[in-house]
Amino acid sequence: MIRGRVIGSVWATRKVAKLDGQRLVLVAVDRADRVIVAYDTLDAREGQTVLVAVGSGARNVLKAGPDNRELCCDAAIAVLVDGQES
Amino acid sequence: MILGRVIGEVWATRKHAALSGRKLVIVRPTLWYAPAVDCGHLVAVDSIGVDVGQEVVVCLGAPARRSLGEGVNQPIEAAVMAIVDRVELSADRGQRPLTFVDGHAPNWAENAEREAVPNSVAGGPEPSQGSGQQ
Amino acid sequence: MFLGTVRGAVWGARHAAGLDGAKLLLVETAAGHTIVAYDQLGAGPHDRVLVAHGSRVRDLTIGPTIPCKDVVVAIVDGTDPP
Repeated sequence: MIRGRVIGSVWATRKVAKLDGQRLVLVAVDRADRVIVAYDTLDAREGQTVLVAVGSGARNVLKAGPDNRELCCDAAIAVLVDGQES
Repeated sequence: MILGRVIGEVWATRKHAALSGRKLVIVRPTLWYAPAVDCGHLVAVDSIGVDVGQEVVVCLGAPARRSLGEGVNQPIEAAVMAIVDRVELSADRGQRPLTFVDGHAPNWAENAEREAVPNSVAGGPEPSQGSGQQ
Repeated sequence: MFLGTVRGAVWGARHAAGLDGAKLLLVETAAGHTIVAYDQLGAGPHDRVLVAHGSRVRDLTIGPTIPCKDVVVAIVDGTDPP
């Protein structure tokens, strides 16, 4: 998982099958010059620090289990970070 | 996934079997995302039916490959998964300016602080001027 | 995947196992970078090609024992814009 900050929202009504209604957000990745689009099923706030599951494992956030292999998802928010010790 | 804009299409008859019947579109990424190969554009499979000029969300890597169906060994690493209606930046997004690929900032980012791509990679084809072929 | 143009080929008298008999092409991307890609489709000089990158791509096309992560997956007939 990678840590980042929610910096915006993306609205898209036309999506691939099985992913209608899922919210998409823009996440600025910490300590890296990257901004990615991630699924948000946890209702993250604007400006919130989050942990994003990336790659093949991200699908499990949307639907856990072996029959999620066709979900078109490479990034999904897995944790809303309340606080942490550094 | 990443945001990008469809700037063209690719046709090929000699190709890997898994690309047979697949529509291939050229996408210019919007925001810098540290790609494995940095050349200012990417080519993605389009199963939704996008038009040149549309802003899209592209899924990358193994999830893109698998979303196009199993049972075929597919050397595909990018697939368009949504057409964007609207993007809104948060008021609370911290101090870091946004890095736009090739300096092309879309309308929704007009007021955002921005900086150039670190390596100033001016790559990728210019957008199609025509309506494109279907 | 990304587009590039074939600028030449690479030969090596000494090479890693798995690259025996391989056709390796020099492909120039639109950004001016040159990469080396494995070709099984018969692309020639000045051909525009579509290259896919990644270890999984390599596994699915040329096999997991080949030490090359860029593979030519199509020879382009045309693009819009050209």
